[in-house]
Amino acid sequence: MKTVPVRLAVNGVAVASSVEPRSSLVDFLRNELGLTGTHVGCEHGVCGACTILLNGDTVRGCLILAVQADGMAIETIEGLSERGALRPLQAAFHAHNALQCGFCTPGMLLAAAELLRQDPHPSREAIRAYLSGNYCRCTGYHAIIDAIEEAARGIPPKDGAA
Amino acid sequence: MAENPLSPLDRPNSYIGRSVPRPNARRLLQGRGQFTDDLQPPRLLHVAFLRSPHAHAEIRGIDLAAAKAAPGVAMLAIGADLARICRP
Amino acid sequence: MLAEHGGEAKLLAGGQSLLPALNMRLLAPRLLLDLGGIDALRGIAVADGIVSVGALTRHVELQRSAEVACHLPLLAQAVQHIAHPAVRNRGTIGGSIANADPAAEMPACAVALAARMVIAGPTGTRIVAAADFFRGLYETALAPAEILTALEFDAIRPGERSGFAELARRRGDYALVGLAAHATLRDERLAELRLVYFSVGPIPVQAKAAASCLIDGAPNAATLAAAQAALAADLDPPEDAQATRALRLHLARILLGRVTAELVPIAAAAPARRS
Repeated sequence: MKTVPVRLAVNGVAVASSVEPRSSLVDFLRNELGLTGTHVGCEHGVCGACTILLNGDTVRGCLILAVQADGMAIETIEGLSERGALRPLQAAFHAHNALQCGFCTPGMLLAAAELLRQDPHPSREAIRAYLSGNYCRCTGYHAIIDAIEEAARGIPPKDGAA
Repeated sequence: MAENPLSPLDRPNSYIGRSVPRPNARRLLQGRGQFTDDLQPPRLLHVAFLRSPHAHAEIRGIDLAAAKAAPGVAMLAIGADLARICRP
Repeated sequence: MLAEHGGEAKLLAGGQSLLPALNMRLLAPRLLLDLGGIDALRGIAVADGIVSVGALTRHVELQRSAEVACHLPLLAQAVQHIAHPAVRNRGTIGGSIANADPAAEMPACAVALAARMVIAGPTGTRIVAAADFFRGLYETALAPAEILTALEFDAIRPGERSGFAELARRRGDYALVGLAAHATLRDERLAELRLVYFSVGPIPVQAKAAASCLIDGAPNAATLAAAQAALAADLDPPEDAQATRALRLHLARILLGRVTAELVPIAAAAPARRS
Protein backbone atom coordinates (compact mmCIF):
# COMPACT_ATOMS: atom_id res chain seq x y z
CA MET A 1 0.00 0.00 0.00
CA LYS A 2 1.31 3.45 -0.91
CA THR A 3 2.32 5.60 2.02
CA VAL A 4 1.19 9.17 2.61
CA PRO A 5 3.28 11.89 4.30
CA VAL A 6 2.03 13.29 7.59
CA ARG A 7 3.28 16.17 9.67
CA LEU A 8 1.92 16.66 13.16
CA ALA A 9 2.92 17.75 16.65
CA VAL A 10 3.13 15.01 19.26
CA ASN A 11 3.62 16.12 22.85
CA GLY A 12 4.91 19.46 21.59
CA VAL A 13 7.47 17.96 19.22
CA ALA A 14 7.11 18.24 15.43
CA VAL A 15 6.92 14.83 13.78
CA ALA A 16 7.18 14.07 10.06
CA SER A 17 6.56 10.58 8.80
CA SER A 18 5.02 8.45 6.08
CA VAL A 19 2.11 6.21 6.90
CA GLU A 20 -0.14 3.71 5.20
CA PRO A 21 -3.60 5.32 4.94
CA ARG A 22 -5.10 2.36 6.78
CA SER A 23 -2.95 2.86 9.91
CA SER A 24 -4.79 4.04 12.99
CA LEU A 25 -3.41 6.96 14.97
CA VAL A 26 -2.91 4.81 18.07
CA ASP A 27 -0.89 2.24 16.10
CA PHE A 28 1.20 5.08 14.66
CA LEU A 29 1.90 6.53 18.11
CA ARG A 30 2.73 3.14 19.59
CA ASN A 31 4.67 1.51 16.78
CA GLU A 32 6.28 4.40 14.89
CA LEU A 33 6.92 6.75 17.79
CA GLY A 34 7.31 4.19 20.58
CA LEU A 35 4.72 5.95 22.75
CA THR A 36 3.33 2.79 24.24
CA GLY A 37 1.59 4.48 27.17
CA THR A 38 -1.57 4.66 25.07
CA HIS A 39 -3.09 1.19 24.83
CA VAL A 40 -5.23 -0.72 22.36
CA GLY A 41 -8.17 -2.55 23.92
CA CYS A 42 -11.29 -3.03 21.86
CA GLU A 43 -10.42 -1.25 18.59
CA HIS A 44 -13.99 -0.06 18.23
CA GLY A 45 -14.21 2.90 20.52
CA VAL A 46 -15.90 1.62 23.65
CA CYS A 47 -13.15 0.75 26.14
CA GLY A 48 -11.25 4.03 26.30
CA ALA A 49 -7.77 2.51 26.62
CA CYS A 50 -6.65 4.36 23.47
CA THR A 51 -7.74 7.81 24.67
CA ILE A 52 -5.43 10.66 23.65
CA LEU A 53 -5.81 14.43 23.24
CA LEU A 54 -6.24 15.83 19.74
CA ASN A 55 -6.10 19.62 19.69
CA GLY A 56 -6.91 19.52 23.41
CA ASP A 57 -9.95 17.21 23.26
CA THR A 58 -10.10 13.55 24.27
CA VAL A 59 -10.53 11.25 21.30
CA ARG A 60 -10.26 7.56 20.53
CA GLY A 61 -6.88 6.87 18.97
CA CYS A 62 -8.25 3.66 17.49
CA LEU A 63 -10.98 5.51 15.59
CA ILE A 64 -8.77 8.06 13.88
CA LEU A 65 -6.50 7.26 10.96
CA ALA A 66 -2.94 8.54 11.28
CA VAL A 67 -3.42 10.53 8.06
CA GLN A 68 -6.32 12.41 9.63
CA ALA A 69 -3.94 13.76 12.27
CA ASP A 70 -1.98 15.72 9.67
CA GLY A 71 -1.55 19.26 10.94
CA MET A 72 -2.95 18.42 14.37
CA ALA A 73 -1.49 18.57 17.87
CA ILE A 74 -1.57 15.27 19.76
CA GLU A 75 -0.83 14.77 23.44
CA THR A 76 -0.39 11.38 25.04
CA ILE A 77 -0.07 10.24 28.66
CA GLU A 78 3.69 10.53 28.38
CA GLY A 79 3.67 14.17 27.32
CA LEU A 80 0.94 15.18 29.74
CA SER A 81 2.80 13.48 32.60
CA GLU A 82 6.09 15.14 31.72
CA ARG A 83 4.58 18.61 31.72
CA GLY A 84 2.84 17.97 35.01
CA ALA A 85 -0.67 18.42 33.64
CA LEU A 86 -1.98 15.38 35.48
CA ARG A 87 -0.09 15.63 38.75
CA PRO A 88 -3.07 16.10 41.13
CA LEU A 89 -5.00 13.27 39.47
CA GLN A 90 -1.98 10.96 39.43
CA ALA A 91 -1.32 11.64 43.12
CA ALA A 92 -4.97 10.98 43.98
CA PHE A 93 -5.06 7.76 41.93
CA HIS A 94 -1.90 6.61 43.68
CA ALA A 95 -3.18 7.41 47.16
CA HIS A 96 -6.54 5.73 46.54
CA ASN A 97 -5.03 2.71 44.78
CA ALA A 98 -7.21 3.51 41.77
CA LEU A 99 -5.26 1.15 39.54
CA GLN A 100 -4.08 -2.44 39.61
CA CYS A 101 -2.69 -3.58 36.28
CA GLY A 102 -2.59 -0.03 34.94
CA PHE A 103 -3.89 -0.80 31.44
CA CYS A 104 -6.93 1.48 31.64
CA THR A 105 -5.16 4.13 33.69
CA PRO A 106 -3.84 6.51 31.02
CA GLY A 107 -7.30 6.66 29.46
CA MET A 108 -8.93 7.18 32.85
CA LEU A 109 -6.56 10.04 33.67
CA LEU A 110 -7.18 11.82 30.37
CA ALA A 111 -10.95 11.46 30.65
CA ALA A 112 -10.91 12.61 34.28
CA ALA A 113 -8.73 15.60 33.42
CA GLU A 114 -11.15 16.68 30.70
CA LEU A 115 -14.08 16.32 33.08
CA LEU A 116 -12.40 18.45 35.74
CA ARG A 117 -11.56 21.12 33.17
CA GLN A 118 -15.25 21.36 32.32
CA ASP A 119 -16.73 20.73 35.75
CA PRO A 120 -14.26 21.32 38.61
CA HIS A 121 -16.65 19.95 41.26
CA PRO A 122 -18.51 17.04 39.70
CA SER A 123 -20.86 14.82 41.67
CA ARG A 124 -20.11 11.09 41.81
CA GLU A 125 -22.92 10.62 39.30
CA ALA A 126 -21.33 13.14 36.95
CA ILE A 127 -17.96 11.41 37.32
CA ARG A 128 -19.53 8.04 36.50
CA ALA A 129 -21.25 9.54 33.48
CA TYR A 130 -18.08 11.12 32.11
CA LEU A 131 -15.94 8.04 32.73
CA SER A 132 -18.56 5.69 31.27
CA GLY A 133 -16.42 5.30 28.18
CA ASN A 134 -13.42 3.99 30.11
CA TYR A 135 -13.54 0.37 31.14
CA CYS A 136 -11.54 -1.10 34.02
CA ARG A 137 -11.42 -4.84 34.56
CA CYS A 138 -9.42 -4.74 37.79
CA THR A 139 -10.54 -2.21 40.34
CA GLY A 140 -14.33 -2.19 40.29
CA TYR A 141 -14.25 1.58 39.70
CA HIS A 142 -15.01 2.85 43.23
CA ALA A 143 -11.40 3.77 43.97
CA ILE A 144 -11.21 5.58 40.63
CA ILE A 145 -14.30 7.65 41.44
CA ASP A 146 -12.87 8.35 44.93
CA ALA A 147 -9.59 9.47 43.41
CA ILE A 148 -11.25 11.83 40.96
CA GLU A 149 -13.39 13.31 43.76
CA GLU A 150 -10.21 13.79 45.77
CA ALA A 151 -8.44 15.52 42.92
CA ALA A 152 -11.46 17.74 42.48
CA ARG A 153 -11.26 18.76 46.11
CA GLY A 154 -7.69 19.83 45.45
CA ILE A 155 -6.44 18.48 48.72
CA PRO A 156 -3.95 15.60 48.71
CA PRO A 157 -4.85 12.85 51.25
CA LYS A 158 -2.81 12.43 54.45
CA ASP A 159 -0.11 9.74 54.55
CA GLY A 160 -1.38 6.34 55.63
CA ALA A 161 -5.03 7.20 54.98
CA ALA A 162 -7.09 4.07 54.19
CA MET B 1 -12.13 -8.21 70.67
CA ALA B 2 -8.77 -8.15 72.53
CA GLU B 3 -6.80 -4.97 71.99
CA ASN B 4 -3.67 -5.34 69.91
CA PRO B 5 -0.81 -5.53 72.47
CA LEU B 6 1.62 -4.09 69.92
CA SER B 7 1.54 -0.39 69.05
CA PRO B 8 3.17 1.35 66.09
CA LEU B 9 6.00 2.22 68.47
CA ASP B 10 6.78 -1.50 68.82
CA ARG B 11 6.73 -2.12 65.07
CA PRO B 12 7.71 1.22 63.53
CA ASN B 13 8.73 -0.23 60.18
CA SER B 14 5.91 -2.69 59.73
CA TYR B 15 3.44 -2.43 56.85
CA ILE B 16 0.84 -4.21 58.96
CA GLY B 17 -2.13 -1.97 59.70
CA ARG B 18 -0.94 0.74 57.32
CA SER B 19 -2.08 1.69 53.83
CA VAL B 20 0.93 1.31 51.59
CA PRO B 21 0.99 2.96 48.17
CA ARG B 22 2.51 0.74 45.49
CA PRO B 23 5.95 1.90 44.35
CA ASN B 24 5.46 0.81 40.74
CA ALA B 25 2.08 2.51 40.46
CA ARG B 26 3.88 5.76 39.71
CA ARG B 27 5.30 4.26 36.52
CA LEU B 28 1.91 2.90 35.47
CA LEU B 29 0.30 6.29 36.12
CA GLN B 30 2.74 7.89 33.68
CA GLY B 31 2.08 5.39 30.89
CA ARG B 32 5.45 3.71 31.38
CA GLY B 33 4.12 0.21 31.96
CA GLN B 34 5.45 -2.64 29.88
CA PHE B 35 2.53 -4.69 28.65
CA THR B 36 3.20 -7.55 26.27
CA ASP B 37 2.20 -5.60 23.16
CA ASP B 38 4.47 -2.73 24.24
CA LEU B 39 7.58 -4.88 23.94
CA GLN B 40 9.44 -4.69 20.60
CA PRO B 41 12.49 -6.90 20.85
CA PRO B 42 14.76 -7.07 17.77
CA ARG B 43 13.71 -9.52 15.04
CA LEU B 44 10.23 -9.74 16.48
CA LEU B 45 7.92 -11.83 14.32
CA HIS B 46 4.17 -11.31 14.13
CA VAL B 47 1.63 -14.07 13.63
CA ALA B 48 -1.62 -13.72 11.74
CA PHE B 49 -4.33 -16.36 11.71
CA LEU B 50 -6.42 -16.95 8.61
CA ARG B 51 -9.78 -18.23 9.77
CA SER B 52 -12.34 -20.05 7.67
CA PRO B 53 -14.82 -17.75 5.98
CA HIS B 54 -17.33 -20.61 6.03
CA ALA B 55 -19.30 -21.76 9.06
CA HIS B 56 -19.27 -25.38 7.95
CA ALA B 57 -17.15 -26.64 5.09
CA GLU B 58 -14.75 -29.30 3.92
CA ILE B 59 -11.15 -28.29 3.24
CA ARG B 60 -10.30 -29.75 -0.16
CA GLY B 61 -6.83 -28.23 -0.32
CA ILE B 62 -4.69 -25.34 0.86
CA ASP B 63 -2.53 -23.51 -1.70
CA LEU B 64 0.40 -21.85 0.07
CA ALA B 65 2.28 -20.67 -3.01
CA ALA B 66 1.21 -17.03 -2.94
CA ALA B 67 1.64 -16.77 0.83
CA LYS B 68 5.14 -18.28 0.65
CA ALA B 69 6.11 -15.76 -2.00
CA ALA B 70 4.82 -12.75 -0.02
CA PRO B 71 7.66 -10.51 1.26
CA GLY B 72 8.62 -10.84 4.91
CA VAL B 73 6.96 -14.21 5.48
CA ALA B 74 9.13 -16.23 7.86
CA MET B 75 6.97 -19.29 8.30
CA LEU B 76 3.63 -20.77 7.33
CA ALA B 77 1.82 -23.45 9.29
CA ILE B 78 -1.36 -25.34 8.53
CA GLY B 79 -3.18 -27.97 10.57
CA ALA B 80 -0.94 -30.77 9.38
CA ASP B 81 2.18 -28.92 10.57
CA LEU B 82 0.71 -28.30 14.02
CA ALA B 83 -0.53 -31.88 14.29
CA ARG B 84 3.10 -33.00 14.21
CA ILE B 85 3.89 -31.17 17.45
CA CYS B 86 0.69 -30.98 19.45
CA ARG B 87 -2.69 -32.56 19.96
CA PRO B 88 -5.87 -30.44 19.72
CA MET C 1 -14.67 11.35 -7.08
CA LEU C 2 -17.60 9.52 -5.55
CA ALA C 3 -19.24 9.16 -8.94
CA GLU C 4 -15.98 7.84 -10.37
CA HIS C 5 -15.44 5.19 -7.75
CA GLY C 6 -19.02 4.13 -7.07
CA GLY C 7 -19.34 1.40 -4.50
CA GLU C 8 -15.60 1.13 -3.92
CA ALA C 9 -15.43 4.39 -1.99
CA LYS C 10 -16.72 5.33 1.46
CA LEU C 11 -17.08 8.81 2.87
CA LEU C 12 -15.23 9.59 6.09
CA ALA C 13 -16.80 12.20 8.37
CA GLY C 14 -16.23 11.75 12.13
CA GLY C 15 -15.26 8.13 11.63
CA GLN C 16 -16.84 6.97 14.89
CA SER C 17 -19.04 4.42 13.10
CA LEU C 18 -16.94 3.85 9.99
CA LEU C 19 -13.64 3.11 11.75
CA PRO C 20 -15.17 0.44 14.03
CA ALA C 21 -16.58 -1.24 10.92
CA LEU C 22 -13.16 -1.16 9.27
CA ASN C 23 -11.41 -2.37 12.42
CA MET C 24 -13.83 -5.29 12.73
CA ARG C 25 -13.34 -6.11 9.05
CA LEU C 26 -17.04 -5.61 8.36
CA LEU C 27 -16.15 -3.21 5.56
CA ALA C 28 -13.11 -3.06 3.29
CA PRO C 29 -13.57 -0.14 0.89
CA ARG C 30 -10.85 0.42 -1.64
CA LEU C 31 -10.96 4.15 -1.08
CA LEU C 32 -11.84 6.50 1.77
CA LEU C 33 -12.81 10.07 0.99
CA ASP C 34 -12.10 12.27 3.96
CA LEU C 35 -14.61 15.12 4.21
CA GLY C 36 -12.75 16.57 7.19
CA GLY C 37 -11.16 19.42 5.30
CA ILE C 38 -14.40 20.85 3.91
CA ASP C 39 -15.17 23.76 6.22
CA ALA C 40 -18.30 24.64 4.26
CA LEU C 41 -19.93 21.58 5.83
CA ARG C 42 -19.48 22.95 9.34
CA GLY C 43 -21.33 25.50 11.40
CA ILE C 44 -24.70 26.29 12.90
CA ALA C 45 -26.61 29.23 11.49
CA VAL C 46 -29.96 30.65 12.59
CA ALA C 47 -32.01 32.90 10.30
CA ASP C 48 -35.73 33.59 9.95
CA GLY C 49 -36.73 30.79 12.30
CA ILE C 50 -34.66 28.18 10.44
CA VAL C 51 -31.64 26.54 12.02
CA SER C 52 -29.15 25.21 9.52
CA VAL C 53 -26.67 22.67 10.90
CA GLY C 54 -23.68 21.70 8.76
CA ALA C 55 -23.33 17.95 8.29
CA LEU C 56 -19.83 17.93 9.77
CA THR C 57 -20.95 19.61 12.98
CA ARG C 58 -19.59 17.45 15.77
CA HIS C 59 -21.88 16.14 18.50
CA VAL C 60 -19.83 18.01 21.11
CA GLU C 61 -20.48 21.23 19.18
CA LEU C 62 -24.22 20.56 19.38
CA GLN C 63 -23.79 20.03 23.13
CA ARG C 64 -21.98 23.34 23.59
CA SER C 65 -24.07 25.41 21.19
CA ALA C 66 -26.24 28.14 22.67
CA GLU C 67 -28.28 28.19 19.44
CA VAL C 68 -29.07 24.49 19.76
CA ALA C 69 -29.94 24.80 23.45
CA CYS C 70 -32.28 27.67 22.65
CA HIS C 71 -33.81 26.68 19.31
CA LEU C 72 -33.44 22.87 19.12
CA PRO C 73 -33.76 21.60 22.70
CA LEU C 74 -34.55 18.07 21.45
CA LEU C 75 -31.07 17.80 19.94
CA ALA C 76 -29.51 19.16 23.12
CA GLN C 77 -31.33 16.47 25.14
CA ALA C 78 -30.57 13.63 22.74
CA VAL C 79 -26.89 14.32 22.10
CA GLN C 80 -25.96 13.58 25.72
CA HIS C 81 -26.98 9.95 25.13
CA ILE C 82 -24.67 9.45 22.19
CA ALA C 83 -21.83 7.08 23.12
CA HIS C 84 -19.13 8.72 25.30
CA PRO C 85 -17.40 12.09 25.50
CA ALA C 86 -14.38 11.10 23.39
CA VAL C 87 -16.69 9.77 20.67
CA ARG C 88 -18.85 12.91 20.80
CA ASN C 89 -15.72 15.00 20.33
CA ARG C 90 -15.30 13.50 16.83
CA GLY C 91 -18.62 12.08 15.65
CA THR C 92 -20.78 14.29 13.45
CA ILE C 93 -24.53 14.74 13.08
CA GLY C 94 -24.28 14.28 9.31
CA GLY C 95 -22.32 11.08 9.73
CA SER C 96 -24.88 9.72 12.16
CA ILE C 97 -27.77 10.60 9.84
CA ALA C 98 -26.11 9.26 6.69
CA ASN C 99 -25.04 6.05 8.44
CA ALA C 100 -28.62 5.56 9.72
CA ASP C 101 -27.85 3.05 12.43
CA PRO C 102 -31.18 1.70 13.78
CA ALA C 103 -30.09 2.50 17.35
CA ALA C 104 -28.85 6.00 16.63
CA GLU C 105 -30.45 9.03 18.26
CA MET C 106 -30.06 11.67 15.56
CA PRO C 107 -32.19 10.02 12.84
CA ALA C 108 -35.17 9.77 15.20
CA CYS C 109 -34.70 13.39 16.27
CA ALA C 110 -34.60 14.48 12.62
CA VAL C 111 -37.92 12.74 11.96
CA ALA C 112 -39.48 14.09 15.17
CA LEU C 113 -38.49 17.63 14.18
CA ALA C 114 -39.54 17.17 10.52
CA ALA C 115 -36.05 18.20 9.47
CA ARG C 116 -34.99 18.68 5.88
CA MET C 117 -31.84 16.96 4.57
CA VAL C 118 -29.79 19.08 2.20
CA ILE C 119 -28.04 16.84 -0.30
CA ALA C 120 -25.43 17.69 -2.91
CA GLY C 121 -24.58 15.52 -5.89
CA PRO C 122 -23.29 15.65 -9.44
CA THR C 123 -26.70 16.85 -10.70
CA GLY C 124 -27.01 19.62 -8.11
CA THR C 125 -28.61 20.16 -4.70
CA ARG C 126 -31.88 18.67 -3.50
CA ILE C 127 -33.86 18.55 -0.27
CA VAL C 128 -35.39 15.41 1.22
CA ALA C 129 -37.77 15.45 4.18
CA ALA C 130 -36.59 13.41 7.17
CA ALA C 131 -39.71 11.23 7.02
CA ASP C 132 -38.69 10.14 3.51
CA PHE C 133 -34.94 9.93 4.12
CA PHE C 134 -34.59 6.65 6.02
CA ARG C 135 -35.37 3.74 3.72
CA GLY C 136 -34.08 0.56 5.35
CA LEU C 137 -31.29 -0.92 7.42
CA TYR C 138 -28.34 1.50 6.92
CA GLU C 139 -30.14 2.62 3.79
CA THR C 140 -31.04 6.24 3.10
CA ALA C 141 -32.25 8.35 0.20
CA LEU C 142 -28.64 9.28 -0.59
CA ALA C 143 -27.62 8.12 -4.06
CA PRO C 144 -24.12 6.65 -4.40
CA ALA C 145 -22.52 9.88 -5.61
CA GLU C 146 -24.32 12.20 -3.18
CA ILE C 147 -23.25 13.85 0.05
CA LEU C 148 -25.40 15.12 2.90
CA THR C 149 -24.24 18.70 3.34
CA ALA C 150 -26.56 20.09 6.02
CA LEU C 151 -29.73 19.63 8.01
CA GLU C 152 -32.41 22.28 8.23
CA PHE C 153 -34.69 22.51 11.25
CA ASP C 154 -37.51 24.82 12.22
CA ALA C 155 -36.53 26.63 15.40
CA ILE C 156 -38.80 25.76 18.30
CA ARG C 157 -41.80 28.08 18.52
CA PRO C 158 -43.81 29.21 21.58
CA GLY C 159 -46.20 26.44 22.60
CA GLU C 160 -43.92 23.72 21.25
CA ARG C 161 -42.23 21.17 23.48
CA SER C 162 -39.84 18.32 22.95
CA GLY C 163 -39.07 15.23 24.96
CA PHE C 164 -36.46 12.50 24.76
CA ALA C 165 -35.79 9.26 26.59
CA GLU C 166 -33.63 6.24 25.92
CA LEU C 167 -32.97 2.99 27.75
CA ALA C 168 -29.66 1.18 27.55
CA ARG C 169 -28.01 -1.35 29.83
CA ARG C 170 -25.05 0.91 30.47
CA ARG C 171 -24.62 4.61 29.84
CA GLY C 172 -23.38 5.14 26.31
CA ASP C 173 -24.46 1.72 25.02
CA TYR C 174 -26.59 1.50 21.91
CA ALA C 175 -30.21 2.02 22.95
CA LEU C 176 -32.48 -0.92 23.64
CA VAL C 177 -35.38 1.41 22.87
CA GLY C 178 -35.49 5.18 22.46
CA LEU C 179 -38.12 7.86 21.92
CA ALA C 180 -37.82 11.35 20.45
CA ALA C 181 -40.98 13.46 20.67
CA HIS C 182 -42.12 16.85 19.48
CA ALA C 183 -45.44 18.41 20.47
CA THR C 184 -47.46 21.56 19.94
CA LEU C 185 -49.58 22.59 22.89
CA ARG C 186 -52.68 24.73 22.78
CA ASP C 187 -54.39 25.56 26.10
CA GLU C 188 -52.38 22.82 27.83
CA ARG C 189 -53.68 20.21 25.39
CA LEU C 190 -51.63 18.38 22.81
CA ALA C 191 -52.67 19.77 19.45
CA GLU C 192 -49.93 17.99 17.50
CA LEU C 193 -47.68 15.18 18.57
CA ARG C 194 -44.91 13.32 16.78
CA LEU C 195 -43.64 10.26 18.65
CA VAL C 196 -40.62 8.75 16.94
CA TYR C 197 -39.16 5.53 18.29
CA PHE C 198 -35.71 4.20 17.47
CA SER C 199 -34.07 0.84 18.03
CA VAL C 200 -37.43 -0.80 17.32
CA GLY C 201 -36.65 -1.79 13.76
CA PRO C 202 -34.36 -0.89 10.87
CA ILE C 203 -35.51 2.76 10.67
CA PRO C 204 -37.13 5.27 13.06
CA VAL C 205 -40.83 4.55 13.51
CA GLN C 206 -43.49 7.18 14.06
CA ALA C 207 -46.09 5.89 16.54
CA LYS C 208 -49.19 7.44 14.97
CA ALA C 209 -51.86 5.31 16.66
CA ALA C 210 -50.37 6.05 20.06
CA ALA C 211 -50.13 9.76 19.30
CA SER C 212 -53.76 9.91 18.19
CA CYS C 213 -54.85 8.62 21.63
CA LEU C 214 -53.16 11.61 23.25
CA ILE C 215 -53.98 14.59 21.07
CA ASP C 216 -56.95 16.93 21.24
CA GLY C 217 -57.41 16.46 24.94
CA ALA C 218 -55.60 16.89 28.20
CA PRO C 219 -53.77 13.61 28.65
CA ASN C 220 -54.81 11.62 31.68
CA ALA C 221 -53.97 8.20 33.03
CA ALA C 222 -56.67 6.57 30.87
CA THR C 223 -55.63 8.12 27.56
CA LEU C 224 -51.98 7.42 28.35
CA ALA C 225 -52.83 3.77 28.99
CA ALA C 226 -54.73 3.67 25.68
CA ALA C 227 -51.74 5.19 23.91
CA GLN C 228 -49.41 2.65 25.49
CA ALA C 229 -51.69 -0.17 24.37
CA ALA C 230 -51.83 1.31 20.86
CA LEU C 231 -48.06 0.99 20.58
CA ALA C 232 -48.58 -2.68 19.80
CA ALA C 233 -50.18 -1.54 16.54
CA ASP C 234 -47.49 1.05 15.75
CA LEU C 235 -44.38 -0.95 16.58
CA ASP C 236 -43.10 -4.27 15.35
CA PRO C 237 -39.82 -4.59 17.22
CA PRO C 238 -37.32 -7.29 16.30
CA GLU C 239 -36.21 -10.11 18.52
CA ASP C 240 -32.44 -10.19 18.90
CA ALA C 241 -29.59 -10.93 21.27
CA GLN C 242 -30.13 -7.62 23.08
CA ALA C 243 -33.84 -7.89 23.84
CA THR C 244 -36.98 -9.86 23.06
CA ARG C 245 -39.82 -8.30 21.13
CA ALA C 246 -41.95 -8.27 24.25
CA LEU C 247 -39.25 -6.48 26.24
CA ARG C 248 -38.88 -3.78 23.59
CA LEU C 249 -42.64 -3.21 23.52
CA HIS C 250 -42.70 -3.06 27.30
CA LEU C 251 -39.84 -0.54 27.37
CA ALA C 252 -41.52 1.45 24.62
CA ARG C 253 -44.62 1.79 26.79
CA ILE C 254 -42.54 2.95 29.73
CA LEU C 255 -40.74 5.55 27.62
CA LEU C 256 -44.08 6.83 26.35
CA GLY C 257 -45.16 7.45 29.93
CA ARG C 258 -41.95 9.27 30.79
CA VAL C 259 -41.79 11.41 27.67
CA THR C 260 -45.47 12.36 27.75
CA ALA C 261 -44.99 13.57 31.31
CA GLU C 262 -42.12 15.75 30.04
CA LEU C 263 -44.32 17.28 27.37
CA VAL C 264 -47.47 18.04 29.29
CA PRO C 265 -48.87 17.53 32.80
CA ILE C 266 -50.83 14.27 32.99
CA ALA C 267 -54.02 14.47 35.01
CA ALA C 268 -55.12 11.55 37.15
CA ALA C 269 -57.98 9.46 35.69
CA ALA C 270 -61.02 11.71 35.16
CA PRO C 271 -62.99 11.23 38.41
CA ALA C 272 -66.46 10.75 36.84
CA ARG C 273 -65.38 7.75 34.80
CA ARG C 274 -64.16 5.39 37.50
CA SER C 275 -65.49 1.92 36.60
